[in-house]
Amino acid sequence: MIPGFVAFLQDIGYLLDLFFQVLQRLTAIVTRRALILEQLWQAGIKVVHVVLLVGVFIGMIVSLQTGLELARFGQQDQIGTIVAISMAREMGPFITATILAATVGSALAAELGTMAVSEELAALEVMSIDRVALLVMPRVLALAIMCPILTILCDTIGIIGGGFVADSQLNVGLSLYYDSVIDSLQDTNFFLELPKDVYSGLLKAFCFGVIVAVISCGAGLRATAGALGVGNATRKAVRDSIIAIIIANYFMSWLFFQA
Amino acid sequence: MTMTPEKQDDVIIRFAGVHKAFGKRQVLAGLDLDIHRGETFCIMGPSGCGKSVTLRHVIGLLKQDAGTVEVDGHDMATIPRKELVALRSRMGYVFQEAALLNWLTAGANVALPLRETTKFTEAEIEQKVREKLELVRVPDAYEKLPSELSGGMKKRVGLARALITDPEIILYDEPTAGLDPEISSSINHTIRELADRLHVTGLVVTHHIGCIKIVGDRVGLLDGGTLNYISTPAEFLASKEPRLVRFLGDRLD
Repeated sequence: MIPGFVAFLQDIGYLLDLFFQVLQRLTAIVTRRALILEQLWQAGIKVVHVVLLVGVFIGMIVSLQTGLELARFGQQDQIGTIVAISMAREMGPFITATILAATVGSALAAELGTMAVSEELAALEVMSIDRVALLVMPRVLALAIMCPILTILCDTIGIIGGGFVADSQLNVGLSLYYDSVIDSLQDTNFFLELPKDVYSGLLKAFCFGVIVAVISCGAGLRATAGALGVGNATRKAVRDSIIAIIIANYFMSWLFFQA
Repeated sequence: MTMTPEKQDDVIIRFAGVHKAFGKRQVLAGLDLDIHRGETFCIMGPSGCGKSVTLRHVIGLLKQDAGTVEVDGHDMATIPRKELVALRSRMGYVFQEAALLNWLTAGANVALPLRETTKFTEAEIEQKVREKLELVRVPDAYEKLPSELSGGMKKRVGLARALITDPEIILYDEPTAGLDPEISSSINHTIRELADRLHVTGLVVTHHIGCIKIVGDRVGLLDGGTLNYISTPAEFLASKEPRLVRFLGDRLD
C-alpha cells in the first residue's frame, strides 16, 4: 500500500517536472517548427476521420436517448439545446481527448518507448542533445493545439448528427432544432467572443491535450525491458491518460459551472 | 601501440575501486583500470559481467555506488552538468545496435550532434557529415533511412556519428556483435585505422577475439566485478591462466 502510494507520488512528480521542462522549452518553438508541424499532422490530421465518425454517432445517440424521454413529456423541441450543451461542454472535449489518448497517445508512448529500449534516448543523452526540446515539447504543443481544433469538429458534427436524428426519428423540424441549438449557445459571459459552453469546452480540450501528451511521453521515456516494456508503457499511457482526463474534467466542470 | 614513459603517465580514463550494484546484484566490485591517452583498451568478459556498465560510467550515463571514475581529471560522479556536456563533446559512443534515430536519414543522424550543439552552417555540416561517412566507408548511406541499411552499415553510420565531433575518446559497445566474420573484420580494421590516423583513445567492449587482435593495444578480462589478466592481446591469448583458458577456450576453437 505505502510503496504503491510512494510510486504514485513519484509518478506525479515526474510528470509535473516533465511538464515544467516543456514550458521552459517553449522558447524553442521557432527552431523546432518543422518537428511541430510534423506532430500536428500526426496528432491531428491523421485522426480527423475517427473524430468525425465517433462525433456524429455520439450526437445521434444523445439526440435519440434524450429525445425519446423528452417526447414522453412533449418537450422534444428541447433536443437541440440538450445536444448542443452536451456536446460543447462535455462530450466533444471528452470524446476527442479519449480518441487522442487511444490513438496518438498510445503511438507516442510506443514510439518513445521503443527509442528508450533501443538506446536511442541514451544516444541523445551521450550527445548532450536535449530530448525534451527535441521529442517532448513538439508533441505536447501539437496535442495542445489539435485537441481543441478537433473538439470543434466533434461538437459541430455531433450537433449535425443530433439534428438528423431529431428530424428523421423524433419529428422535430431541422429549423426548430437549429434555433434551439443557437439559443442554447447564447451566453452573456464572453471569452474570445465565444459562449461559455463553447470556451469552457475548448479550454478543457486544451488541458486534456496537454495531459494526454505529457502522460504518454512520460510513459514512453521511462520504458524499460524491451518489447514487453514498450507494451507496458503504451498500456500505462492510455490508462493513465483516460483516468486523468476524467478527474480533470470533473474539477474543470466544477470550476466553470459551480465555483 | 608502444607505450612511451610519458604516455604511461598520461592517464585519460581512471577507474579506482569502482563498485556498482543493481538491486542485490553486484556488477562491479572494486574495479581498477587506467587507460592512457591514445591507446585502445579492450574489455572482454562473459555476458552480463558488466562490460557495458563499465563503459556507461565513462560517459556519465551511470554513477558508481563507491570508488571513483575520472575522465581527463574530471570526477564523473560530481562533475557539474555544464562541464559534463563539454566533456561529452570530446567523447564518442558507438552503441551495440547503433541506436540511430529511425525517423532521420543516416546523414541527418550523423549531423544531429552538430545541428543541436554547434553553430556550424548547413553547408559546413553537410561537408563534415560526408567526410565522416567516407571515412567509415559508407558514403552512399547519406540519404538512406536506418531501416534501409544493413547491420554493418548501421554500425558504420553509428561510428560516423561518434566521430562527427572529432572526439578524443571513443567508447565502443560490442562494435561487431551480430555481424558476419567478414564485416566484423572490416569494421575492426576501420576502428584500428581510426585509432592510428586520428590518435583517439578507445575503450572497446567485445566478445570477439578477432576484435582484440586487430583493435586492442591492451586487453583485460572483466570477471567477478574486477578486471584481470590485463596484458597485450598476444600475451592475453597465450596465457595459461586456468580462468582465462576456460573463458577463451570456446572462442579459440
